Amino acid sequence: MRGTLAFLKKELIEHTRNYKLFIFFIVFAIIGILSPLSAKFLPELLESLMDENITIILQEPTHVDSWVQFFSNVNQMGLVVMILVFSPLMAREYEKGTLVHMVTKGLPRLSIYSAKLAMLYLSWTLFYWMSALITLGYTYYYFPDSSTEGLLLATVSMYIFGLMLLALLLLSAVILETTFAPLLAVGGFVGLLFLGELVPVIQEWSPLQLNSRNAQWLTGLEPGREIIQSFAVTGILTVFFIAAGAALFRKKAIN
Amino acid sequence: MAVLEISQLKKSFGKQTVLDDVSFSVEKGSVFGFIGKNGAGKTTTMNIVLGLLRAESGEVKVNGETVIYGDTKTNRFVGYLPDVPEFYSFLTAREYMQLSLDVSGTTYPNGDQKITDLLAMVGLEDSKKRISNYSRGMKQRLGIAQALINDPVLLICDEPTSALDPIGRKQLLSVLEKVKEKTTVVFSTHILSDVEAVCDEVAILDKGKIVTQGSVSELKGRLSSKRWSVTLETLADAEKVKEALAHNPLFSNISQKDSIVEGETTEGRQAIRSIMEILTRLAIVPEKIERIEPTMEEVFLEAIK
Repeated sequence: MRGTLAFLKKELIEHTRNYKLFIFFIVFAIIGILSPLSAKFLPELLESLMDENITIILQEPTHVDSWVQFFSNVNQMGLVVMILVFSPLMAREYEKGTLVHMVTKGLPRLSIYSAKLAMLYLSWTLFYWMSALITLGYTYYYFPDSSTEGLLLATVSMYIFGLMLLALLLLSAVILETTFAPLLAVGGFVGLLFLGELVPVIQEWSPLQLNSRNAQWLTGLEPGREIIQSFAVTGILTVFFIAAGAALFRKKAIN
Repeated sequence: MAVLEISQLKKSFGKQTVLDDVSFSVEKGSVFGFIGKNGAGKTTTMNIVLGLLRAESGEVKVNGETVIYGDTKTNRFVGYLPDVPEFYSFLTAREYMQLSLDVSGTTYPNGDQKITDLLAMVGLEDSKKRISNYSRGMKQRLGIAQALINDPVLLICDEPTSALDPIGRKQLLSVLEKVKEKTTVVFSTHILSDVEAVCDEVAILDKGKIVTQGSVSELKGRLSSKRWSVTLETLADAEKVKEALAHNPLFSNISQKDSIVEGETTEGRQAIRSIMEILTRLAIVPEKIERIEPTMEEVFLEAIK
């Protein structure tokens, strides 16, 4: 445990001194601030940009629009930045041979793997929920009569989806020794999930529901059986990715 | 007691056999030189000992415990210094040493003092300077310090001086001299003067096989009877002696350089006696007659012939 914590501390120092945690802070803070702001002022902005002769009718924005913006921004910006920044997580260690000193000091490989996973999950947890809290605060500020119905499920499901992608990122980083191959692997997996959406049976079980139906639950739509199935599949896949990564890393040649 | 025991180790990369039935052991308290050309299999052997590579067959024991690939348990007895050590460049030397201490699981009543002592021993300043600003020599010295943080029973140095300038090499060898008082050292290299400087015992690896093994003096002794030299006062004397020796079947490869006549023989003692007889017969008084002690380079070249 001491070794794992020491290695995790090294990871934290590394990501702090290389400004990666600062980048996450900025990106997720922007998402948190911008999502309610853009929901509130987008109709006015669109109106001001339109020709006077064209009339567009837009519904009065609500708190739901704020969260729709949040989930969309987390998907398109937050998760992408996080996966992009963490993609070389193992490649740098393999390439430079820095793990050799750790392993030859007697640090179990599982400790290295656990510390890497903890770094990913700590970052995602901290910055995702920070961003969600900022969004919550500004949403209340701009839309004082907003409700929190379905919010927990919507935010937790996105969070769980992120955990799965980061587990896959680490597995890919253990197997593939190049800097951006893990990024492509995660991208390819998400691409496959989108393809799976075309088949109703797969769609019912797809983890993609956790990051695409969030807004529906905020509007009061009751989550059906699919959401349980989707949570189950996502959980199983996450555990599988983590276990497979650990098993492969244990037998990986390090030199 | 053997700190490191390697028996019948085999390893191939594809069709290329890198280690073929390699066996040797290293006794406690010695500095063991592991010599071989580039690509002879030295680093592969080290990596197997450290559990970083899987052997096809054979067994490695460190401090009596079997090394299992992927399992790092035996590494608690080991300190390792690679040829070009790579560190987390965003850390300072002290931070890196603290990380090494923590991951090794070793506990000292005063870990900070241990780090201070080791940094002082290798001559590194305990400052806020990050490792990214270190020279290669400084990194090598930090490499030694981190390798010793867990008070290892066995220190494995894989060509530690190959990338250093003469001053860096001298500093590193003097650190190894200090270390050997407490720790058994396995030192792989192709720089033979370094072997002569620090090693007690030597094994020569060639094409994946141990071709010879023994103490430095033993290995030299095996060759020492073969070469001789006579230093004479004048060129004319040297020519006469060379001529006389050439007719004696005991001597071979006779050459003359100025007033020195050199050659080889199969029987050292008898050769010196014959040289003295010939000199007496020719009434020549030499300046010097000697059996030439071979260098490690000659020992090595002879072994891999």
